[in-house]
Amino acid sequence: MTPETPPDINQLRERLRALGYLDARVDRYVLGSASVRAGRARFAMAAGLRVGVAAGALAGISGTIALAARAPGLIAGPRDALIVGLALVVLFTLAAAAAVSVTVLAASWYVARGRRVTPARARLAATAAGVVVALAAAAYLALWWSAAQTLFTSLPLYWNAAAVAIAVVTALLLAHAVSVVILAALARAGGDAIHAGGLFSSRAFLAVFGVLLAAGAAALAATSAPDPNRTSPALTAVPTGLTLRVIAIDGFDTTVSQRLAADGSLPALSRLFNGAAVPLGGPDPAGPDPARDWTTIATGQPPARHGITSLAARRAMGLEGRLPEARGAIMQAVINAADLLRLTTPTVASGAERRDPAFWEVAEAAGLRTAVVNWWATWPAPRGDTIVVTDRALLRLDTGGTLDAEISPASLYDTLLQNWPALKLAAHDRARGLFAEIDDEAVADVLMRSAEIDLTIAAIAAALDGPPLDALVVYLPGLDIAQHQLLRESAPGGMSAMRARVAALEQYYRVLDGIVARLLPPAPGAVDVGLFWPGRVPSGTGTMYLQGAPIVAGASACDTCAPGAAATLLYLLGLPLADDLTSTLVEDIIDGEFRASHPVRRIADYSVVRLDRRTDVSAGGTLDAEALERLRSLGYVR
Amino acid sequence: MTTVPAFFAGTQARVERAIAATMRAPDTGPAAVGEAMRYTLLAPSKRVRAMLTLVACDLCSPLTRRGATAPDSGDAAMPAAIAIEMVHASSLILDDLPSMDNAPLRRGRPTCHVQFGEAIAVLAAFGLLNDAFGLVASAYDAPLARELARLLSSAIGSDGLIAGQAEDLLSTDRPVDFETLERIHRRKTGALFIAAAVAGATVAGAREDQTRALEAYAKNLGLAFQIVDDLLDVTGDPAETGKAVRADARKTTFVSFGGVDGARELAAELCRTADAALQPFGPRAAPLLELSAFVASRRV
Repeated sequence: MTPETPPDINQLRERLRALGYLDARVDRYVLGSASVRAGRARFAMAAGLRVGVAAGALAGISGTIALAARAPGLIAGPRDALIVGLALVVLFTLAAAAAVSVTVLAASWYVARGRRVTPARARLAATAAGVVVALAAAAYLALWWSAAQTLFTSLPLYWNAAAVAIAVVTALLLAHAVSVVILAALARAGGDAIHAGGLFSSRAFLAVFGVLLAAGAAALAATSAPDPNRTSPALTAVPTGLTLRVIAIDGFDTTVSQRLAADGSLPALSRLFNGAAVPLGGPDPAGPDPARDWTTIATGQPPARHGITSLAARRAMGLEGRLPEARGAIMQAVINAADLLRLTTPTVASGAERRDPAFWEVAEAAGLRTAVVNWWATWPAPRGDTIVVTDRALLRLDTGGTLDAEISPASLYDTLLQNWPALKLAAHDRARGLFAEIDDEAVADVLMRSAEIDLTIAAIAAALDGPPLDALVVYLPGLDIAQHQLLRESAPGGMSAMRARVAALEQYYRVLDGIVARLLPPAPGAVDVGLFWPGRVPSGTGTMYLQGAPIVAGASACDTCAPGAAATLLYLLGLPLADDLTSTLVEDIIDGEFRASHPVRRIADYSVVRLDRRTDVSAGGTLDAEALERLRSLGYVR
Repeated sequence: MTTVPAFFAGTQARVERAIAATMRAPDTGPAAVGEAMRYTLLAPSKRVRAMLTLVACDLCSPLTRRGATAPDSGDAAMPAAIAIEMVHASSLILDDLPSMDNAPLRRGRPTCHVQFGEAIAVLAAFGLLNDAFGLVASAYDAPLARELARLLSSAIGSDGLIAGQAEDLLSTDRPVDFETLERIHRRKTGALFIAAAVAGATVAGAREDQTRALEAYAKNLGLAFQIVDDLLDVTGDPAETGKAVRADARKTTFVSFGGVDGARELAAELCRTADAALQPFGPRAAPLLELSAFVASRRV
């Protein structure tokens, strides 16, 4: 007998594949458990597990990459990646296995109840299940891609195309596997009239894959194509002859300080106020968080980008890395439960979670010499000769012992440790002298303690020696600590007591003025910068004041914009500005002659600045618990 | 001439000797039935199914897995292999009957019913079927015997060989679609190929994945075997095949769908797929690779 149609070997090949012959490997894997002797439940569980393992492997690995991008610092090394990866693989495997098993059981049960399922309806049901899975997988992978691409921005296009291809293949394979299982379940219950086969024939699979791959590659090419009009010089510094001296003061109220400056009480700060002013923006709607806010100022990038979203973080059991602070009531409840079970423990945000370089790190990478003292999330300090006195340095100097990346270079620790008792004593005595006249002892104690911290930090900054610096950056937390403790709640004694506290805090501005005068003595070629931020007691917005040769005195950027500090500081140091920098250069505050001789240079991004991820430092460091306790005592964490 | 794989000759001879020993003339009972059974079972044959059982057992044997030389590890599967050959011979007798294909020649000789008469041929077929189950029951311990009996039963039963034969008969002189043709041969040929491979694996106590791999191999090889059979019906030399040519002219075959070249191409692809299924076994699967190469190129 001869069929009416002429022979088409490709069509026969496809039909054989649909019947489980030739290269139907996915089907064979998925249906490996579909032996005739297996009951409905056993088949459903076995098939579900096989699909689950495939889904778990594919989604778990991609999920790990996404998690690494979404929660910088969580995965601190290969061991963390392995643990998180395994956990996600198991999680996705169980979830997918359960979902597929239930679906298969439902399909089997439907047929077993005597409902007639024609081959066409069986195929429709299997296809529908496959399409649902494809869409779900595609949605998941789209989210994954959106999260993961922060890790891949500097990768060449073909890597991105490969990632898209893997995502597409993953979605299609899972969809095909599910449709195969559903069809097999219906065929087992409904007899041979329903043939094996899945969502796609090989040809259709390849066609869909090809179209999606081409679309993905085209989209990536369109979005990643470089602008031909832009040149991207390497990260080099063109010397401007300027030295940047930056003092960052937290908890600063510009209105109070301007008033005090007007009556001549703050001569050093007044010098800064007479320079140019640049708005730094207002408090974050999520509430104040010093680690987040000061990292935003230093990197010129928003928190979602730079990765430090909160001062408090969590360390998961068995992992070296850290989880960012939970947002939302449900996540907070989950974290609280995890804390109770000791699955997570509180820790402090650190540089390990930060994805973007601070402006001084860009300068160092370009060959300039910088020093930074006490800035948030700077621990662990990098290796080498870069001068970094981290936010844990005071604690290390107080406790002594072996250095654990709190200070760089190590020789600086030795010097500071040798002079530490004298340095501390001097700060202590000076602080006591400054506030001895305050009657309220509790208020005086708060102010003395805060002043002691600031004076100690200033003394460390002043003690730095060696070759001249291109940039010195010092962060002073004392005002914020004092203000937070004195103004956070109603003082006993009512309005008059509160007024006394405000008056006492105004005295603190004089302490700060003295520190500014000490650290920023007038010097030719220096640009002095005050970074003033409202801190934890909301009091207006942040402002950057600049004073120095190329700065136009009295100039200011628009009141409503928030260009940030980083771009302007990088420009003044002679560094190229990254295209992806959120902070913008305020040219109006710089005189025309300087701008003419130092045209703005551009670079695609700062990915060439390799942040030193210390693998030789233990998770949280040896002072993690002490750091947390000290922050708690200062009112930073509860 | 088709080149017989190197390992064939020795294994074939072992199978022939074992079958001859099993099928000794009975001391009592009608001689004609026993003679008809021996006539069919001992007729010249490739013994592909028996070989599949023996090699599958060898492949999955713990001794072989450890890399030790175990030339006779497949002998444990010999009773199962003979039982498979008995079932196959039985199906051939029935298939050739006047009420079915009415074939005059089989394996170069007159068919059983031509030689002994239709009634004796029917009895011989049933005798072989019964003896197959009896052999399995007496050669193995109860759990293994029960598993092998279940395997044979499902390969022969109403969803196996018998269903395939029935649908084949009903399709004579009628066009059938590709899927129906595949189903007929999956049951008529493929089911026993799969049973042969799985029986060998079962005797060896194979792991589930090994059994599945052998099942996939046998499934693809079984269909390839049938397609080559269809090809030989069109292009074969009766002197070599031992069958009348164009015996299947009234039926739809794989050649009807793909033409001679297309069918040959599909058979070769199926053999390659069968080979690919053996990847987990590594180089130890060489005999089965030779077997599929033989199936793809056979002329008899």
